[in-house]
Amino acid sequence: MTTCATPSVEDARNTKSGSQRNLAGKYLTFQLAEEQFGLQILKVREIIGVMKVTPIPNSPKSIRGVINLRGKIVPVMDLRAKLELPTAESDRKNCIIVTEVERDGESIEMGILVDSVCEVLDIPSGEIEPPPALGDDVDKTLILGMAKAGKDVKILLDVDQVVASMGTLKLTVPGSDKK
Amino acid sequence: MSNHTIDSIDLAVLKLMEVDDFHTPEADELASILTELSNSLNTEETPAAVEAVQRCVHSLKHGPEEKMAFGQVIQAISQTLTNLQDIKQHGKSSVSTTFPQKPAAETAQPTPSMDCDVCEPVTEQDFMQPAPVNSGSDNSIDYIDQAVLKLMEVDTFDSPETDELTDILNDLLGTLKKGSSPEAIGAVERCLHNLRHGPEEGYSFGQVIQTTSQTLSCLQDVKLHGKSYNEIQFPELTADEVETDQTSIQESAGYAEAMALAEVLNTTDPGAHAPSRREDAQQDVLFNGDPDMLGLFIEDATEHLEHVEADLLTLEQNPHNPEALDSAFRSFHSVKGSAGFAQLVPIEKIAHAMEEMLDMARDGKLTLQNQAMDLTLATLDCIRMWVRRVQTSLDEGTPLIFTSEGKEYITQIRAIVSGEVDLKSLSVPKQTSTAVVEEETTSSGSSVSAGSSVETESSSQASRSEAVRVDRHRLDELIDLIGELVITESMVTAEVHQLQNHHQDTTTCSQLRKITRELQELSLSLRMMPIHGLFQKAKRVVRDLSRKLNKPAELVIEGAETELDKSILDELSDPIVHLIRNSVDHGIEATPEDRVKAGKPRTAEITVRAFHKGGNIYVEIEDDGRGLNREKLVSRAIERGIINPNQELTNDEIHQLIFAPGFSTAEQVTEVSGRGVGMDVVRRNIEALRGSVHVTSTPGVGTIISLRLPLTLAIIDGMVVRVADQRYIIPTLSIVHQMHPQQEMLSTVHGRGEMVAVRGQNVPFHRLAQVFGLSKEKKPTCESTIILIEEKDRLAGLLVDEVIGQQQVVIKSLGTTLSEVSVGIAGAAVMPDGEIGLILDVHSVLELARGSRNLK
Repeated sequence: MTTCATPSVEDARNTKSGSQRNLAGKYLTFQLAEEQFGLQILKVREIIGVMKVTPIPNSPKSIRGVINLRGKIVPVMDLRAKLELPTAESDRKNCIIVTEVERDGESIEMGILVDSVCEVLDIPSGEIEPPPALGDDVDKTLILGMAKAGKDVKILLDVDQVVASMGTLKLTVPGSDKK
Repeated sequence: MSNHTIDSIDLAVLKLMEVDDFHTPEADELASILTELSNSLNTEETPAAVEAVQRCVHSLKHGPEEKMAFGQVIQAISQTLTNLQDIKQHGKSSVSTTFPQKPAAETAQPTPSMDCDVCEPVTEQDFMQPAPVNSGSDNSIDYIDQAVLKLMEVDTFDSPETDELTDILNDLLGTLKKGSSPEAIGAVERCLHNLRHGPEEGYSFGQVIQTTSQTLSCLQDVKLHGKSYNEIQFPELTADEVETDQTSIQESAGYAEAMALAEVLNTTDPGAHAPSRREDAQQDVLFNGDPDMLGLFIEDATEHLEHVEADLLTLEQNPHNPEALDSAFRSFHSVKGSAGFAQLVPIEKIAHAMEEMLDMARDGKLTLQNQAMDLTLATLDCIRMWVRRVQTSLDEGTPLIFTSEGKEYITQIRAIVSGEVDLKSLSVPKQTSTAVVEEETTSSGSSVSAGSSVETESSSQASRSEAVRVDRHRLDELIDLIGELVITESMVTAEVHQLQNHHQDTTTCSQLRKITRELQELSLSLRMMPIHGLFQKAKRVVRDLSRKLNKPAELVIEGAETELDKSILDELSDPIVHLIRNSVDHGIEATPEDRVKAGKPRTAEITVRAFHKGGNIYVEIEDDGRGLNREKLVSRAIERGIINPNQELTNDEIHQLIFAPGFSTAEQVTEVSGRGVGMDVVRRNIEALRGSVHVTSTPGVGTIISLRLPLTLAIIDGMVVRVADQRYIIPTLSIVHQMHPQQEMLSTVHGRGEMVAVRGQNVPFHRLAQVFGLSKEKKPTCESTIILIEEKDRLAGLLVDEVIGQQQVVIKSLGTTLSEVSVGIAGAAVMPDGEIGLILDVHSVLELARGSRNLK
């Protein structure tokens, strides 16, 4: 765990400082609405089909709830809600990508609910560009970079940031949250 | 060569560090150590050495009258000791060593010739060495010799001699810079610095001179004896640390220096020496060891020290129990060994001293009882304190500071071992009566040894080795997985039954079920540990207290093999120690005479017992003392306003008064009882473990305090309820009552706040569906169920759609990522169907409910 986590932390730092050199590697790509995303394969623990998710009362929409992963309680993030993409009907192809990141010396598992998983791509560093300037309304903190693969463009997500963003969420107080 | 002599030398070298003027207590101590040394030398027929030591004693006592500078005397002593060490440890013959000569001249003659005398051995001895001159090409040797000479004359920080010395050292530095090792240069530079700035930085003159002298003799080793720099460690005073705490650094600098010195001179215990040790052991006051080694040391030491305590207490009862003696000896030996590996010299030294003492006991020369046992136990606590300190420094990443604590134990033990001290006159250095309690608070967080739970016989080494240490997380993971297996198994069997309507081939299924059940039981037992260790600790508490309070008391242990969840055990330690203290202090009659008058044996009996009953574990502390004084309890309670004077109370209620906050019947606060932890804290701690405390007492016969505890913290009884399409678990412990409300029981306040009448009392209730934002529309109240919850002194209700049933569930944490957003949720549990049920934290749910209402 420790060994694979160390470079990733550096990755994240490098991104912030603008350097892209360590981003090359294998990515698990998946579909979400009309867009394709990629996650560093080293951070992916497993992919499971959608199972019943127990919602946590009053939690933000981006948290779908918790699942029982072989006796472990794992939170599940609704990535569509997180990225403010339109909600969709659930589908047989939907799945949960279980990621594992290291934070404060503790390994944290989190499920990410996606529309469907595509493939594992080896992306050389030459194909990766920094996230483009799209204006203020696009949140770039979760994005490592943009990768070209053939004709498509894949958005590479920063798993550590995604997980970290979960811890900073605030409770939605009943009454202020109109469903 | 007797170890004793070597030890005396070591001791003298240590003491030398502390001395910084004539006629100080330290100087006196040094003199007595030296006297002892000369006595022990007598027996070995080295007249030259004996005379030299005696001269040292003489000049130490009469130096000022004979116009000798303090620095001179110290230097002479140091030189003599070094020579002695050479003889004793490096096997030099006493003939080839020249001690400071001309005894008569020394006392009679004025200072200058004294200088010569003292410096003589240095030069003479040096040139007797086989290969002295080969490195004499540079003139650094001259400077070293000059410096050594000058060092004799120096007396204070601000004297012309000191200035001359610094000049010489400067010159020396100049020559060293042409090709000597950076360490040597650094060491000389440090000496210079200390000479100039010593007083500002809180060093005593003696320390500085000692360090300088040490540095010079290291240099001599290199230059004259052809040693390589790698073999040498230069001494250091830590200049950087001074700002933090002047006094303690002074102290610790002295001690660490002493350790360092001992190492450099390769003195100490000849048996326990590896050459590589010299490298690090000496360093300076701040010690940064290899974390892995330190971690290993802590694990090892903690385990051994636990065993030692049990063994020692056995020994006190039965001083000649060879097994206990051997086992204690082995444990100290192991601690010494692992401290040595981790390069923790002070711990190693103390453990070594203990080993010697136990060795004496094994030879039948010493009986470990009374004072000797006090000293042994105090020393044990001292080692524990060191171990804790290592742990803290490891946990927090702070450097470990060697202080002089523990030195007095070594001194005392050595005195005993050498037969110098009469055991009766022994006074145990205080410090440690708090150690037992302190330790509990700190040690509970340390590494879990699930392994040691396996052993019930603590005495034999063989059973010890069969235990395996397992990481707590792995264990939890295993238990999780087995829980999951059980659920999957029941699903699979159900499916198989559905598929094959006939009951053929179900033997494999039932086999599977049997195995999984067994696995599950086994997995739950993995976390269980016998309460034995805790009771052992209680034994120590009773022993110490009964001695301190002069109340003979004995602890009887029953059911020590009863197993409890490790996490409960950790939390139970403080309350039990407190209750035991209470029993000894308050429970037992004030004096043994009172007991005799009451027709009881002089020695009081306190019993701790643990047993299973009805799915719970009970731990009882019983004393045969005077029992609770009901009248006093009641009057005190009235005085404190805890109860109403007119209130009629049952005996039971009176007894429960002792748990009221701030309640104490102790006439005066003694050291033992005035510790600030009241019975209310005990009760709170036990209740936090989901247990309860009960007192029964018969005046004149005794008191029993009974703790009821759950088998494990991991499982709770819960009420499973349904709200909209969700299931939640409400801990049964917080539920007072459940009811189906009738229309006439309901009322509202301002059309919003809903109340239900319960036994004539209007209780506000909240709809869980609304609190959790699960549904908008209000279901008719009469079709739902209200769960009544007691909150401090009032009742509140939660409205749920349906109560599904009662169930035991395994609590799991939601993890840190969700802690911010999961308000009102205490945790989660895997339900029998494999899905998750959230466990409610009813109090925060109620707070949430009130908060959300206010927002509207």
